[in-house]
Amino acid sequence: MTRKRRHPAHNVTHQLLFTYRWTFIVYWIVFIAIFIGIAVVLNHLAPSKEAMDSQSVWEGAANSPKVFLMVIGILLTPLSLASFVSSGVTRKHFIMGIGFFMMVMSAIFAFVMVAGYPIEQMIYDKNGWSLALNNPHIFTSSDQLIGIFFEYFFLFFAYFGSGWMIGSGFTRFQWQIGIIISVVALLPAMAMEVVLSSDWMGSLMQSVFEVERSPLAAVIVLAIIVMASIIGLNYLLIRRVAIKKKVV
Amino acid sequence: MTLGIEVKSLQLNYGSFRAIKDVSFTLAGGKIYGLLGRNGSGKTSLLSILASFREQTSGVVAIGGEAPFENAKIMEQVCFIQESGYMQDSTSVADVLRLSESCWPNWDREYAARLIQLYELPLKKRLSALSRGMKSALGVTVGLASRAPVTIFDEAYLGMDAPSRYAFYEELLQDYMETPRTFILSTHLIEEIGTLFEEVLILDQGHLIMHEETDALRSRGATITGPDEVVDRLTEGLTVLGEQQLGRTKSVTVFGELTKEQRKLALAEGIELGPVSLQDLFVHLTKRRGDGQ
Repeated sequence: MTRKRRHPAHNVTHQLLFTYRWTFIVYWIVFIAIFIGIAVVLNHLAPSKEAMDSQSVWEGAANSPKVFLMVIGILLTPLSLASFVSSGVTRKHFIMGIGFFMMVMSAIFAFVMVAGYPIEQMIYDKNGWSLALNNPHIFTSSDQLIGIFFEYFFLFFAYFGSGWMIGSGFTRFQWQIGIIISVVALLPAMAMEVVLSSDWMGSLMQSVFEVERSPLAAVIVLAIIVMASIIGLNYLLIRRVAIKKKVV
Repeated sequence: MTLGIEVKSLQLNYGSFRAIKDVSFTLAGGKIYGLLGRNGSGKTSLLSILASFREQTSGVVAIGGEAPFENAKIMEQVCFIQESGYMQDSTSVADVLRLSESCWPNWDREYAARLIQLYELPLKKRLSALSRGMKSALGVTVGLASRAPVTIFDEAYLGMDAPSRYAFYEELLQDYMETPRTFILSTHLIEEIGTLFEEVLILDQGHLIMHEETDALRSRGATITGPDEVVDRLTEGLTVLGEQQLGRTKSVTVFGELTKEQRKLALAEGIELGPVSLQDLFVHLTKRRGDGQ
């Protein structure tokens, strides 16, 4: 009767992708619809060349998926751990499965961000507007697609992971300690911005502390270390957590 | 495949409160066990440890010779069903079955479909929209169809109505005959389900106070029925668990084995002797001063 089955960690990833599929699809439909709306309004108002100079709308849009993934991350342990453990899955495999799930989702979100830059460039070029990036990045122009992908992949994973830590903290401890962990849990996301020298933390590092960006290979290695730390910290939080009886 | 369970000097603390106190027992594989105890006696805590829902404070637990906690090989062989379940309320019945099928290695899809039909469970409905009885029926379906070598039901059928509960007992017994495995049933409905138990464990205030074969346990007492004066004479000095009288006929349940002389006398006087019910024994063994029982 024994069937050939997926590895439990792979199964967790698969089930989570299935569970959250509509959440992600609807999110991107709304997100893209808003940007099409903004484009239509801009086109209708036809702002002057000066007014549009050096303002990448798409670059600023990355904040929304980061926060969205962080919120989904907060829900992961409280909503799913008990379902999987009560179905015979170990906490270790659950953590591994979430790690893969976050990688897959971060990659998909990063691909959407990658796709947005050339489209924005095309719109700007068509209208004769110049396009410049406002924040520091590991890419310097919107045609460096690999750089764009890796930066957003790492950033999305880190924000996702920070949210996951917040949820794990509240699952493991009482709310008072959960709140403290919520603050500490933001560190991985901030650490990733420091490592990548991008966005708000990147601006701070470069403008205030005058820190030079590390070579790309070092950035990637450090980013992977931050990702591993996120998984490791969550493992420490929930590796022995008790599954408590649900109130009917 | 059946798995035996061995527990040695088990303790579980919740902060300063000790829920399980030095519990030891061995359960052979392939039997139906009843776990009885009053509210707060430690039943769910004990079962949670067996199912790796929580780790013990001290002591040893082995299922199939291995420690179960965070042991993937063992955890996927132990299915623990509670009435409330652990799935998200926004999940549909079909999604619960889908997740269960993907996780339990011995999942029987046809059997699950048959049980879904038996309990008339609506596949598309979310758990939040199900009645208590339907949620219980879904839990029972998952537990039985998991075909896990160790399957534990912790009051999982409480919300079901009487016909559904009897259908469950029937299914459980039939399934057990076809594919033997270790069942542990924790319940307060002792009269209803007691006949299924091969062995009974009784927990009281965190202690295991009894672990015996059901027949042996029931022979620890007797029901004596006959003319009231003869019954009164026969039960003098015995621990009476309960009595009923209709006219001059009296039925008394006593704790403690009857001596040969008492049995001889009962026979001579035309007294009817029967085994004691599990429920009466359970009440007697777990009642405390101040209970008013």
